[in-house]
Amino acid sequence: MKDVVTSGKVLNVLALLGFLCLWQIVATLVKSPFFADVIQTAKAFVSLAKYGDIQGYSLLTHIGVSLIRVGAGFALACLIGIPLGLLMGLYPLVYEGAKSVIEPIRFIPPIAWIPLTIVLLVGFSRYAFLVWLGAFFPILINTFTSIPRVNPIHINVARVYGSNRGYIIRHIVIPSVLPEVLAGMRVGIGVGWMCIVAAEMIGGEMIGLGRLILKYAELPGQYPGEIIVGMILIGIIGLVMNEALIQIEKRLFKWRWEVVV
Amino acid sequence: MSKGARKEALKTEKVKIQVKNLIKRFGDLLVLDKVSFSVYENEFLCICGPTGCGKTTLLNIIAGLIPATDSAPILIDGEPINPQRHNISFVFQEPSCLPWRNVRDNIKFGLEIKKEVLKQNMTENEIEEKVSRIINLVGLDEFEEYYPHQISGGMKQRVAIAQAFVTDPDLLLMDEPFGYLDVQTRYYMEKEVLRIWGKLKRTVIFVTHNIEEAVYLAERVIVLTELPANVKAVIPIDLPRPREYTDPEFVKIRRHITSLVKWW
Repeated sequence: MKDVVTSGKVLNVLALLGFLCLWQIVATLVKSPFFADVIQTAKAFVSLAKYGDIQGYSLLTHIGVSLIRVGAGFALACLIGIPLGLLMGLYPLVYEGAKSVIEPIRFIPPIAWIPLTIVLLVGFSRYAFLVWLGAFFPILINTFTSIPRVNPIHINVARVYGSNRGYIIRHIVIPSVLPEVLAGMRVGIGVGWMCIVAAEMIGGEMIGLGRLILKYAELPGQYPGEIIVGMILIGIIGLVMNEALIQIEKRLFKWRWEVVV
Repeated sequence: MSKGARKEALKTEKVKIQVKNLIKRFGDLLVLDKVSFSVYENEFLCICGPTGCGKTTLLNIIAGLIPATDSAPILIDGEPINPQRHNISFVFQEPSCLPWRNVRDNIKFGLEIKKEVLKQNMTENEIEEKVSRIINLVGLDEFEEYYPHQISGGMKQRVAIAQAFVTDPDLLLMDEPFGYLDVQTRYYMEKEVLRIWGKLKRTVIFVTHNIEEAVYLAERVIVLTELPANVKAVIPIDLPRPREYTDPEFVKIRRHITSLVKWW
């Protein structure tokens, strides 16, 4: 096991180096003013970190603002998705009756909601709504589908001792589905985070990681490195959030063999 | 106890559980056809029968997990049985430990329900004391903090048995609790369950298709017929304890029950 971890680390360093080489080769071959190579991107990062963007907003401001927006949308998705998922799982009629509404909406990509969002919402609620759209369904569906998998023996044990429905839900159903709910939250925050570029395209404010990319995209050919810096930051922060949630899962569910990643 | 004394004792013992004219159908399939029997107070009763003859169904009905199609009320101390009013425990064949609770908290589970849902009068301290005592009795002292996935199948069944006994059940139902265990562990667990029962004296209905196990454990064995099941015979086992599988008397009774169960 330890060997796997160590060789894994070595391989990852190699993979990263290989990726950077490939990027550099492609950039050299393409030779386009719109496509930054590794060195240009590194320089752009240093400049962004030192001086902020062309309007003087620092990288941390962009990151912080995006995190707050995603956090709000994600929190809302949990607040609605988890109870609704439980309700749909415990009372199958709720889902069966609402299927024709829920299922098609689930397959509309958040980006397709942009025009309506512009009409219906303003300011912060636009970001929150688009992130919510991305995060809500994985959380709802995971919660909902995990309920039939509660072990009936566990429910019978509680019933024989004279337990009522409320107690069974609190002490058997919820602990049973919690790992699935958290897995859904992990997928949800990932998707929500990926919606941030779309959300910040339509928000009026000039800050946020998505906005950072768009800002430089509107000046074609002048700052190709900055665009890639924005992309990489979004990727890395997404990874960090995912890892953080995995750690929480491991702590919380130490009673399981292992958390399935 | 001598043979005669045991028979004498049976006559004077108090009826604890009474099942009368119990009928169960699943759709068109008649599973239990007017099953009637009694269980005496603190008796260890085994129910034997061919595979698929409705033994588990019978236990599930007594426990109130599924309804009977038709029956006189199942009585416990003369009152209709009710999991909310009587202390009933059930040890299932499948592992039933809650994976998110450690051994101690699993054993406590039934008592928690009695206190929180049924408002039985117990202090936290009393519960902890009872749990500690039973953990000691079943020999799990060193595993209190372990989670179910960290212990063996035999230990998991010991947790289930401790959880069942700790509530001081009026009736303890066991549905082939050692069915999934390997042979050595099963012999060991049979001894263990007798030792615990000997100490705590509860009324037990133990279902098994293993005739040797039934003769080893029971004070009386009820043999069911094949479907639709009915009581075919009631056989008192008057052998002294500890019983020996190779004792000629033991073998004789086992052969007799085997011939009754045989459906081939």
